[in-house]
Amino acid sequence: MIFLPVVLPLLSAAILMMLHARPRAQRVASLAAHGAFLGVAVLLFARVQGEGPIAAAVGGWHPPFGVSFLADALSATMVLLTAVVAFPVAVFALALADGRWERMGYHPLVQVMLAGVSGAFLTTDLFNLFVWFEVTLISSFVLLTLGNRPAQIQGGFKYVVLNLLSSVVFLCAAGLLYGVAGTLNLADLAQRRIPAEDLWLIGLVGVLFLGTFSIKSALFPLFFWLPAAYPTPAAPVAALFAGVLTKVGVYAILRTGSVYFADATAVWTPAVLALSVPTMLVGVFGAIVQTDWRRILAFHSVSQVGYMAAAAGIGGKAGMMAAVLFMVHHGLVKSALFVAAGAGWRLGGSYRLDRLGGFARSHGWYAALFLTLALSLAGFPPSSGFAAKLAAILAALQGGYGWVAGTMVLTGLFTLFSMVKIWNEAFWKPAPEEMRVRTLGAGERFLLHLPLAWFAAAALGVGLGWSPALASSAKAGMQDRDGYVRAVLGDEVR
Amino acid sequence: MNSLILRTGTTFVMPLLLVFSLFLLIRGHNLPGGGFAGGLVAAASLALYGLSNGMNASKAVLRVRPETLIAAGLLTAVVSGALGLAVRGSYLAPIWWSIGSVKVGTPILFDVGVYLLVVGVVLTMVFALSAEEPS
Repeated sequence: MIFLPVVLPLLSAAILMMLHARPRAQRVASLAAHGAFLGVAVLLFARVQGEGPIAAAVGGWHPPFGVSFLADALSATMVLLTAVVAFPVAVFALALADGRWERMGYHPLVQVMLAGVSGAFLTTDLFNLFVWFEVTLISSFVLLTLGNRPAQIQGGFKYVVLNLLSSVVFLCAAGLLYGVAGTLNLADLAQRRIPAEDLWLIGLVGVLFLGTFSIKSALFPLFFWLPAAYPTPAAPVAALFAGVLTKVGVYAILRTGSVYFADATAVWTPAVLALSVPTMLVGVFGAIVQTDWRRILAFHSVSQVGYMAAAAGIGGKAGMMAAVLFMVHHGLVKSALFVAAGAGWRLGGSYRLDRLGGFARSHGWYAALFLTLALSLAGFPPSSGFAAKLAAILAALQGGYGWVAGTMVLTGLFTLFSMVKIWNEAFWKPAPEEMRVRTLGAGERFLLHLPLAWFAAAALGVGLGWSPALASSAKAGMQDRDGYVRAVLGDEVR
Repeated sequence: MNSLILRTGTTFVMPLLLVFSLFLLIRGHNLPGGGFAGGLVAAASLALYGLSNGMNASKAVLRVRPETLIAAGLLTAVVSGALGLAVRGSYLAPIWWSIGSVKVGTPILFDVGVYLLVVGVVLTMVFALSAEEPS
């Protein structure tokens, strides 16, 4: 069961590759693969909620020797989020499919990426985490550059170089840690006693880990690859990346912080906050000056990653809950907004806001869905954005970080500003004369609206149902260190 | 590259390389070697054939598209792991059978998958890099 979120997409990738010469069959198979992945994720989530964490060892080699997987409430939620985002994006991809990027292997690559992301969420082994990072990185790099436009190559180059660099740093840190502790299984690590004279090495490992994860999740000093890369790829690729990929780095910060560096919060929390608070501000200010729809959204992603990382850094029960809620919220809403941008491009022929206009009058449903999602990102009740921001601000206040809470409120204000800018430009102002609105068939219109409706419903659902959802995941054990160790190692715990 | 010596040499060397790649694949069962090394050698032999006789000749010898090999290899490897999941309840758990004194199991199937995958990936790269114009 627990291996299926990784095995199933790999299997689908192989089958989709074999259907290479038959685009129509490939599209149907791709949709079926996404549906199956969603089904597996829902089943896994339901089982974890019902029975508590599930652990399993690959090949029957039990930890600390083999690689083990663990699905606790956090991992299962992240896998479910991945599937819930990936499915409507696959529907959206059908609306835009013209065969060009499909011939270059779009469908199988998406499956490989899903396998990599699920693996990163489920593994308990740090070296294995590195492997899943690489699987994700390589497949996403190819997805990013499908089409070979110069801007894509440029953005993809920044993306791959910086992320490969961070992978090397991560590998070095993992090597150091293995040298000191003799294991890389996160649960086994958490219960090892490190001799006092080696503790400085653990500190060094912590710095390297944080550096790696901050690059992967696009935190402050080294975030610039994200706004360079995300506005360039095919529309469904951008939507998938914005929803899923940015979460992997934040998840790693959250997991290592809560399991391995749980004793070092006095150092860990200020370090994460020092990275994430500037991220919030830089991202949102970067978005203000942009005039390209997708660039605004990409800079916003940076800003929102700052929220998640800040909540993850504050830690404790409230901080973890807030970080998870924020990841779910952002995964849904940001992919939805990228889908909306792609739909705007399909209808109006451009991503540049000065060349678009009048959607509020010409496409009422589309405008209403966009407005719902944009206000959710800005944090209006009763949407998911309100719930996530409230939880994050409360966690910051509870932890005694009033200035972080203040920054969050301020950032939210500017978020609203740029959402209103998109609304004013693309939807409210009269259509510019050179804009030629494409008339779409009923089928394509349906395929463009369906994902947006799905996302809007999910965002409102999270917004309305968040407090019961949080209470039940608290029961299923949002793992603290001891819970995690017990879940992975079972009875062998000392 | 048009060289009589290379072409003639390749005719002799290529079958040897292919046999050697299979040897490496099977030897990897208990000793250094395995699907990855074997796949590299097999791909190298086809690349050598392509260098001496033209990439189209090499594609003709291969018969299938290298992408198909990638898919077949991935499928074989994933299925060999899934057998372990189905029979022994853990992904990639090995299942062994004895044929006489030789033990055969799913790990060799996994290695065959790796072999096909590596041949496919390397040849995809070689063919793409040797193309005169971007296709």
